[in-house]
Amino acid sequence: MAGVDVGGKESFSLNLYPMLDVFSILIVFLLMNFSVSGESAEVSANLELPMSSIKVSLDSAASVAITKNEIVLQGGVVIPLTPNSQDVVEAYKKDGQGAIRKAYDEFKKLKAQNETLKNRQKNLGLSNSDVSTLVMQSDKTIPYRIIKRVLASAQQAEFISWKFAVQKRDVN
Amino acid sequence: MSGFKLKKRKQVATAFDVNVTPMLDLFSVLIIFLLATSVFSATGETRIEVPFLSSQPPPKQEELDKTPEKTVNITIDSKTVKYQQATTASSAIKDEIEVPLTEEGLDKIQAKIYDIRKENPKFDKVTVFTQAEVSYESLVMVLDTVRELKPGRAPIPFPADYKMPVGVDPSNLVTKVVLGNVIFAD
Repeated sequence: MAGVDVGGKESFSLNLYPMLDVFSILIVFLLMNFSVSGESAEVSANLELPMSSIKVSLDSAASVAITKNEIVLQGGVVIPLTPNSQDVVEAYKKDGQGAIRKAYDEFKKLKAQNETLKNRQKNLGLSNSDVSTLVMQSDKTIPYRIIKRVLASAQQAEFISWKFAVQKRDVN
Repeated sequence: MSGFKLKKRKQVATAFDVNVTPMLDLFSVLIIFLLATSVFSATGETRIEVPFLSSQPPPKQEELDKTPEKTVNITIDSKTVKYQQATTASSAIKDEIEVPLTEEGLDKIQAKIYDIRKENPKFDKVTVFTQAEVSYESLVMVLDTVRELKPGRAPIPFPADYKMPVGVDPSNLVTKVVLGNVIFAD
């Protein structure tokens, strides 16, 4: 801050150049990292994803979240887990092949919706969006026993492609 | 541009002062806009495939024998990881190692897959079998090993005619990871 005596009156002028420098650097940084690649996928708050060195960012898609207490499907359907996340509650299991009845029914519904969407896109001459892939968001402590049940349920509803959500080590 | 003096023959002081306040206002608005709209994504994804039951008959053994390809299976236990390499021509194991489920152990497995890729740049698929008690964190650790190259290993480019799957980083060690034991879960 500089004081200058002009005609007997004191005036103050603030040196804004350092601030301007900082702002310029900040703008350049933000522009370099600016991404308009659509919406980022939402991650459930009740789970901790494992760390990974994967560089590909998670796209939004229909997702399944497995927390320590429950499995939450895209439509809001909740499947409770037994204490210590050992398995799904017995009543929800499907006979044979290890699938979860409720999850299987939900995936079937989703598959039917996707087929309708695909047909509409085809009729309108639009390019097909990738709706056949599901996102798995699982807490890092969840045993594969439960993950496998979800995968088997989806597989029987003809979903065979998955994106496993992870926490990136290098954020970009 | 700050105010400065121009030295002339007669020491006449001439000061220039650019008014930077409007520029500062503009920068402030721009910064707020960029901060509000940017997507700083800390969540990543790794693509997985699950085998699909098909009614088509499997390829004939004679055809597989003509052009045998290497197959790699990885089995994850709660404490160890087993690497097994065979060929499509024969199910007999050609190479096998079992390592602890640690960064060092997994590095040895990546070295094996890296050697196969160097030998055959088209090699792109690894099948992972996971035991029931293995945590999601351990599974992701192994998937990382299979896909993401450790520092010091240069990416091996895929051939020009290779069809890269959607959503996969081309610098990955392999592009297809199949979870083998999903069907008939216990």
